Amino acid sequence: MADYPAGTVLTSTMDAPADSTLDPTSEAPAVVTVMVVRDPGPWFPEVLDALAAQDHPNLAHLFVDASTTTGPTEAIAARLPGSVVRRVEGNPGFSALANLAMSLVEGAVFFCFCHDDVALASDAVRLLVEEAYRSNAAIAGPKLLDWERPNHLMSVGLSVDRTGWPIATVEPGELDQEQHDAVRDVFVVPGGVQLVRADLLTALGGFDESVDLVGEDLDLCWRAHLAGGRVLVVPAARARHWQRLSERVGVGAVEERAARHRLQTVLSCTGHWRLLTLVPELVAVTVLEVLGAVLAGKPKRAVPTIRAWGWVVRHLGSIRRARARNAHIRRVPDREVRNLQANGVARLRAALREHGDGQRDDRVGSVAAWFSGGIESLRSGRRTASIAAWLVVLTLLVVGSRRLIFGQLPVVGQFVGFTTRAGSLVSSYFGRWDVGGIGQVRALPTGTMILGLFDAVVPGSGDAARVWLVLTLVIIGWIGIWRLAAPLTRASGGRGRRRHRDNYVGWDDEDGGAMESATWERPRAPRPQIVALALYAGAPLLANTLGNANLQALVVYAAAPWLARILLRAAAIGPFRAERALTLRSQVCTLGLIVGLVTAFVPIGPLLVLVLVAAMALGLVLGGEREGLAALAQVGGFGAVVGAVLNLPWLFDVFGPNASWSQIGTVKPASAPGRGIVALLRFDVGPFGLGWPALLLMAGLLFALLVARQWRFTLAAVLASVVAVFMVIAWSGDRFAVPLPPPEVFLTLAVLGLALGASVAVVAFEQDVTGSSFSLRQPLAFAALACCLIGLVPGVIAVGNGRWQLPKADFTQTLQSLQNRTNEGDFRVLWLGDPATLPGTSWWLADGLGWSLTQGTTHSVTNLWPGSPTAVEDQVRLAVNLAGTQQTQRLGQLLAPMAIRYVIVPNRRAPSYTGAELHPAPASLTEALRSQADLSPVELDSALLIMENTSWLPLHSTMGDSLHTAATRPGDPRSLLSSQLTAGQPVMPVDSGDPRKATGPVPAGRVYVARPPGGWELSGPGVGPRQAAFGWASSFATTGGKVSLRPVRSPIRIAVVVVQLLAWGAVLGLARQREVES
Amino acid sequence: MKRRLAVLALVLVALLIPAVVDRGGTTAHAVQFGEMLHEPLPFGRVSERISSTWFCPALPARTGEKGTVRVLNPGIGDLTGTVTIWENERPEPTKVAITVPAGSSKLVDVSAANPGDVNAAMVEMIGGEVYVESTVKVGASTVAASCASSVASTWSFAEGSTDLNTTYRLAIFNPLPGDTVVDVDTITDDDGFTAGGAGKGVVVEGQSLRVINVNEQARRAGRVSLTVRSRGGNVVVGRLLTLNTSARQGLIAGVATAGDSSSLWWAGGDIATGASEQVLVMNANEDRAELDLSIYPATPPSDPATQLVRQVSVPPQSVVSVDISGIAGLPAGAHSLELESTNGVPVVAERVIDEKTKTARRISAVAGSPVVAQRWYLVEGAATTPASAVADEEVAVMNPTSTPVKVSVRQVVPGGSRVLSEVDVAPGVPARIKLSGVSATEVVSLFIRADTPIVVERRRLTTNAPWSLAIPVL
Repeated sequence: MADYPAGTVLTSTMDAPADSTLDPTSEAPAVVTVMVVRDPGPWFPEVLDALAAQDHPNLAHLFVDASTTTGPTEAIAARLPGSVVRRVEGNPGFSALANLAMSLVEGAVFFCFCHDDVALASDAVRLLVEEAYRSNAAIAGPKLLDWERPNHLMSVGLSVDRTGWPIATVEPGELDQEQHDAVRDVFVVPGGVQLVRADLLTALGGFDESVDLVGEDLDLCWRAHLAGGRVLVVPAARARHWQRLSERVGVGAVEERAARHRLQTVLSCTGHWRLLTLVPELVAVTVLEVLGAVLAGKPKRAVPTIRAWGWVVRHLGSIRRARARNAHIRRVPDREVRNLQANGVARLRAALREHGDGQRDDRVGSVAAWFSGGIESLRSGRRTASIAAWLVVLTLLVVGSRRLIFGQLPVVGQFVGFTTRAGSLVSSYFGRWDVGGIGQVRALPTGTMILGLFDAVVPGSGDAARVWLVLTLVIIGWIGIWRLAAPLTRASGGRGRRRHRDNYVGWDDEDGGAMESATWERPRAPRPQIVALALYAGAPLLANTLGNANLQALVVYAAAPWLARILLRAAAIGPFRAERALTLRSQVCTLGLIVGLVTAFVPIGPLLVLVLVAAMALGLVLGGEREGLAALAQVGGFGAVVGAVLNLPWLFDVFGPNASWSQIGTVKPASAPGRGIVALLRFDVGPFGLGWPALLLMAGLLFALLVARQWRFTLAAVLASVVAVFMVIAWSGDRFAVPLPPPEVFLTLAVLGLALGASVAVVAFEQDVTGSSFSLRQPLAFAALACCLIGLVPGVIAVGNGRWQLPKADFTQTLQSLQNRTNEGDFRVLWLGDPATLPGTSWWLADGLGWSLTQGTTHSVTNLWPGSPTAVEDQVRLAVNLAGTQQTQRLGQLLAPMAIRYVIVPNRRAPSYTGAELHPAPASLTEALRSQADLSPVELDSALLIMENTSWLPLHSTMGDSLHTAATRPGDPRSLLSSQLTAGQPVMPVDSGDPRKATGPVPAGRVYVARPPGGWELSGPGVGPRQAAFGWASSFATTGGKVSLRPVRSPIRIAVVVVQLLAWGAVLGLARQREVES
Repeated sequence: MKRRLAVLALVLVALLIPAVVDRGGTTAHAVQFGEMLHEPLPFGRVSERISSTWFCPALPARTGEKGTVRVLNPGIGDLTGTVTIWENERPEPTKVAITVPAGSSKLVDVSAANPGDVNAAMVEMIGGEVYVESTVKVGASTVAASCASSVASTWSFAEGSTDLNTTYRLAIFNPLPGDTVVDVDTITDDDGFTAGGAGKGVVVEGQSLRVINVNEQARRAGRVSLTVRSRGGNVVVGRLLTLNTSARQGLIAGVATAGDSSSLWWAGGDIATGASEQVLVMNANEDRAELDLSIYPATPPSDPATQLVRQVSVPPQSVVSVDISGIAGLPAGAHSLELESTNGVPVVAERVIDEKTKTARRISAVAGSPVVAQRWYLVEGAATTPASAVADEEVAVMNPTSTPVKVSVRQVVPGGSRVLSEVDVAPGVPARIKLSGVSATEVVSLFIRADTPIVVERRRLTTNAPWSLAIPVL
């Protein structure tokens, strides 16, 4: 077929037509059919034939051809020789192409916009025109019938609710028995065929070209209503519609465009005042939609809606301009337009009417189809309970976090700040230079990359990203426990599936008879899942973890259910065997991925999983089930290895020969002595010490242990073993000087065991107690239920605070005046004190006493994984020890070369006005600092002892002769004290967005850089080679000019990161290959 | 059933073992880091330090007055350092670089280096083990006393007077960079306790000296005890008290006592003709202090009924004077004292001895030693009289333990020390050691060593220098 260049007009212009001339003298109004053609299918000749058969006497045809490869011109020329074909390069969208009609055509009274997959009945145009005249319609549309089954209705106009959700007036597949054949007003005439008055189209400015495809009909009709026009459906006019848009452009594209354009139209066409109430309503509907999609196990369904909001947020300007345009065309008050729409949120009613099977391509039906399933579930009560449970926990999360969401997430504990420039964390990961501490050359933690990506992806500032991170981790954990307990729900009949003995071979023989006879049960509420979710979310541990700002424990909280799910599948316990049996490779890779993610934040992640595997194996043995041991060990062991490998080479640093325990464990706060096993059982490890009720959370698991049989007992034994093992580990780390992460990390796995144990108890009650003769088991069941309910009370009470007892502010503002003094030279801050008061991870100074270093006054991600102290950093510790043991009263001079300007000792983790708990540093430390002859106190807040070093040297400064002379000597304390350290002028201010960079002019002479070599370079005109200063720092001779300090990109490091990323990708790919094991 | 029991047993054991271990207690322990800096008295360190800093707050420099500091380096290596001198309310200090050879001492004449009113000196030596004493001379009176080895927020003097013909200068030395504000509370016979009686809200700028004329603040008080409290910062406090009344004459100078103590010891003290001895017990706390004052005479009293233990009760925020020389039956000669709080309320106490000899009139006020130690230094040491070549120094030793102790008095010399005298000291019996065999031309710094902890004081015999406490080594 021939192709033609863009802009080619193949036949005559409109004023020189051949057969299809517009006759100005004709009494019939001039009508031009406008068809945008783009790669039509085999149906197209039939479409053309239908156009050729039209009996309207004054009709011309315009084709706008945007085909990508071959044009339909020859077919058009053969069937409609007098037509005009406009060839267009590219694809500016349906609306833009349709609008060409306004510029190409003169003298038309009506435009009849047709899709290229619509075959009109021969009298359709005429009937539409006649009715348009008769009813003074602005837009009229025909009855649309199924292409292949013309006796089936597709559409007889559409209504919409106030959220723009389209409501079809016919049921899918409804037979056309002329039941809808009355002419009537509708809100939308579907875009397949629209007869539009030409003058109105011009007044409206044509189609909104930003609504390029899908939704342009709604937008045009809505604006026609604003202009006072009528929109009619004329059922006497008929057309067959192929309507396979999703096949042509993809389902995702259709849904995404539909959601975006619907939202765009609603926001641009709704009046100001109504919009005030409508926007919250739209947000609420979106939340429900997302929730429904998640609950339906099809979260991708919610993606278009979420993206639509994202688009709107990014294009608020264009929406504002559209509203301004619409204000000019508005002739009808908003309330009148509103009266034309359906009442209420008709989306639900529409969904109820839709009984689609999910196969429909109609954008209404396709979305409504899944929703209708949910509605059906709501009716049955199963989803009602699920949604209610989720609404409760999500509401509690939002209520409990309200002051963080709408306020501030303080920089305390491990909730440290991100960098100020998005992406700098990711970029830093490709280098080997960590600016934390004094500066180290090492493999950066994988968590840096992950947090960097999260920061870059999540909208909002770094602070918002931190809040999202916390909430996301919590919700991931909840989804995980929900999914983890799903097999138990199925085992208890909660999903209402057709159940058959074959599905449960080998694990439920005793129930076989009952199972065989059961063919279809009425769906029941997923009680096991609800119980598991309630305990996992409601145990006070979560509140205390959040209150302690323990990011590591939150990561474990998010990952633990997913880990357990894979391991239980591997162990093939009870209903977990019936889960899709994946290959060993897939299971290992999936587990490895999760372990890898956990390990990126918790270095002992692989060990944690191995212990979990061991605990489960112990439970299996005790429970009398040895069959799954080998698979459990294989999956767990290899998964842990994969997870560790994914975090190489960082883990080499963590567990290498020069590693310190501070990277793995924590400095035990002096304020947190061994709490004792009872406190741990109550999860009293943070600000919420809510008493004994939390002890009762064990009741569910104990009940299961006492009454469960068969696989249920085995599972209970496994979970009891997990609880016991991790309780003991948590207790050991808390009670003794064992360098382990905080107890929350281990208690999370214990809570997981308790939550799933209670879930098992529910199944055990249903299958092992219900129906049996009355005994002690029935009262025990109710007692266990009561205990669990009471045990949840502390967790619910914790919600009241609104910020999980996190302080309402941090020291950022308090220390701003110090931070502002960087114009006197960049500096570091030495933090000393109870680790509970120090953000990030502390190095060990003494038992109960930690220390850390920051560049500037704020702790950032680099403080989460500070690495092992280097020799230079050990000098800082040594200096503090010398001061503490009264070996010197010149601590400032010892710290000066490290550019430490301030020594700060917090006695609370937040400013005093927040009322944060007191964690005083030992008086010996504070008095030692107060007695130093070169540390001057700075009074800012009683929660901080701030001592300014009067001898400090800037991070980057010029070097006078005396400093140069002093720097040539070794940096041992005795030499430093006997040296004259005269600070030079500060130079090269550090980049505020990336602490690894500094640029600025320097005078001729020498420059002092208080950084050890490696990982960075100083470049610029006349910069000489590096010379050591004080034995570790750097000095450079310069001839003056602008110089820059930049990280050095090591090709080896880049190659390593690339290999690491490839490894992640490979493992991800293998994990996604979910072929079922034969 | 067996399996069920096994699992339950596992859970039970996992919970019971920790519970049993927890019975041992899970109470919080104080963080062990470093040492508390503030000791009631100056002290030295056994270990070699990176740097040593000493503070001498009250060194007069007016005409007829002289203040010097002597830095002792008993170690085996030469030490270098700086003496920084601040004059009253003048911000710019004078710095004097010094080198102290091993096993010797170095004298810095502060009043010559920085003439003016009153000076304070901060001695900073790099490395080694260093001891510093100051000598103040006003008129015919000379007082040698140790300087302070640390700063503190609270300092007290039990003895003091603003009587006619008495001059009481209180030197508040802030050697640290930060400013501070101090209050000087007084306790007088007439007015009792007065908060801020000698100064309230006195600003002492960082690295400066502020001298308060107590006479102007607490006028005509026969006895003024005072406490200097710093709000936030740390300071060092000294006094220059010259008495020229008919009852008392002489010079009292030196560093105040930082904080208070429950047990105090004095090695020196005599019952002699023309001498009066009193112990002033100052209780600056809110609770009444109940104390026992024990007297250990060199010779037992002839009258067994002699009261050698006196119960002393000191009301809150008040001072009680115990007249030792007035105790009936107390034999003449040397004695030692021990003051112990029986109800745990700590106090500050000074022993005041007013001596009137044929040749001179002198007074001394020595704070009790709150510590006992096996090693003590006397930096100014034994100056000899050239004429007789006899050391004019007497070292008083008290053995507060229950076993005899061998005490050796040594001269610090390059490379170590030389034994001058060795004596056995019985428990509870005061010893007086007069030195012999000391060179006539040198100032001898003394090092006193014992097997068990003791308390050491000294006094000069032929000059007007009164009693003073040695520097313990902890």
